[in-house]
Amino acid sequence: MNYRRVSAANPSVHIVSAGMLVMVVTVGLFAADVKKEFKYTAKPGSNVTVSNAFGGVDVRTATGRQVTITATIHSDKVEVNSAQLGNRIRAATNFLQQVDSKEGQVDYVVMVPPDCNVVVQNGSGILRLSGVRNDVSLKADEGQVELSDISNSHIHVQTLDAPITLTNVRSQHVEVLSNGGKVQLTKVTGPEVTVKTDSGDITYDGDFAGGGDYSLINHTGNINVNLPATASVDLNARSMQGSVQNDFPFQPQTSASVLPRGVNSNTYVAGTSKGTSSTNFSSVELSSFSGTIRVKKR
Amino acid sequence: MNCADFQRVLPDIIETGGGAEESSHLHSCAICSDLVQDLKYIAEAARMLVPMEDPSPQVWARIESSLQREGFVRPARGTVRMEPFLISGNRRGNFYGWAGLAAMALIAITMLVFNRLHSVPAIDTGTTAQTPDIFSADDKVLLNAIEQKNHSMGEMYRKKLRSVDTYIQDAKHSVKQSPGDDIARQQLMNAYQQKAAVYEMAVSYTTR
Repeated sequence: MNYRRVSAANPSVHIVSAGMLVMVVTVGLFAADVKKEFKYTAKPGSNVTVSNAFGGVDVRTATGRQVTITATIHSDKVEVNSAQLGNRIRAATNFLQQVDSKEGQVDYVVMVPPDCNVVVQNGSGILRLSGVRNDVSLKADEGQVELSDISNSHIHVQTLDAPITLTNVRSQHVEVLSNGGKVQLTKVTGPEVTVKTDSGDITYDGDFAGGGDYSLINHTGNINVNLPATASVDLNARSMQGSVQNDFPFQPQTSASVLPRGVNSNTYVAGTSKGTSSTNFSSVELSSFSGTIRVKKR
Repeated sequence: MNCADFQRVLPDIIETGGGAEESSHLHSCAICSDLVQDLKYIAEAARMLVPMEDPSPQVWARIESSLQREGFVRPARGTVRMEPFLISGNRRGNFYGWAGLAAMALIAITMLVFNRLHSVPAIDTGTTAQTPDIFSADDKVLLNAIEQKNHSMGEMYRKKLRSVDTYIQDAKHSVKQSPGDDIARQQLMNAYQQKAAVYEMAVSYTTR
């Protein structure tokens, strides 16, 4: 008896064979995905550091004192190492051989107590962090950075070419340094908020609350500010070679006495909007080299 | 322990002095020994960057003459003392001035460390020949190291360096036109900070 005769006699052999083939292929595809989980007990103020090259890093808060780091590895050419040393917890992706971005991809989900400090260094992929109540330092080459629902912390974000989104952040100190990506701030407040980009647009949507110093600076990108009518700000906007468009009801303060030495007053006034809204509260400085600055009333 | 292992734990060694294994490697390897010496020297020098008081008038005079040579300011007439563009008399100006010097020092320090870690011969990437050679020697070392690791990332860093160099040139031009303009100085500081950030990210990328 040979296979051809049996299959000819019984068509279900073909179906079973095809099913087995599909199963083998499916298992082969998913076999490379390996999940590694690391669990540590962290004291308040512990530092949790994740270093990754390709893939996403998602940091969320957990109840209790446990830090859980789950890494999904997509090929056997990479490994994830993790360790705890005192109050420092670290997880890092290591390449075992030359890899491309697909082979080297590792996706992390990190659960931390809200009072832990978080440091993430990522190459490309989406970097999300939410709910943390302590210091945060994030660096990314490409991809995307999203921070939300953060309070009482110092935040430092640095990217090469990744858009950055900060939503509902009430922190002590916010510093964003991006070379190319857009920066979007929504309801971000604090005593000191600084955003600096080269070519990326900066958009601020909020009320600049907290009596802080806010500084948004870029080179060629635009700066867009959407303020509620109730905002209390002392605002100074200037684009050196671009324009300033302001539809917010400021009381103008510009006069020859406030111009810097050596600056032609007409040039300065043309690119400047300086004024006070309501009572002097937060200081807002918007500075672009050649981009357009728009201050809009919400 | 080899040099790569040693350099991977270098920050801890600088901070704590390292263990017996690191110490043994340090004594047997001249390259790593020199590197540690340099880093300790840089750390000491960095502490001295924090200004305790205004430098003496001679320092201003030297900076002024240097700026005149570079063409950033014109020679002062009569007895009027011209302030250097980076450092004005008021407190805010001082901040920008020191921030600028610190940013430039950071670039120099980054490149010193980077050159130690990546003393590789320059490679012809092909791309360089197609584009005008506008990069400094330090930039080229950096770009070569990145392109050896990943060509597309090399292209991205090439683009970013061009962009920040343009920014620096734009901002320098503005400061030259209006030396007393705080915003122009602030833009120049941001431009230098952007370049320092690109260097920092690049070094981080190549050592990852």
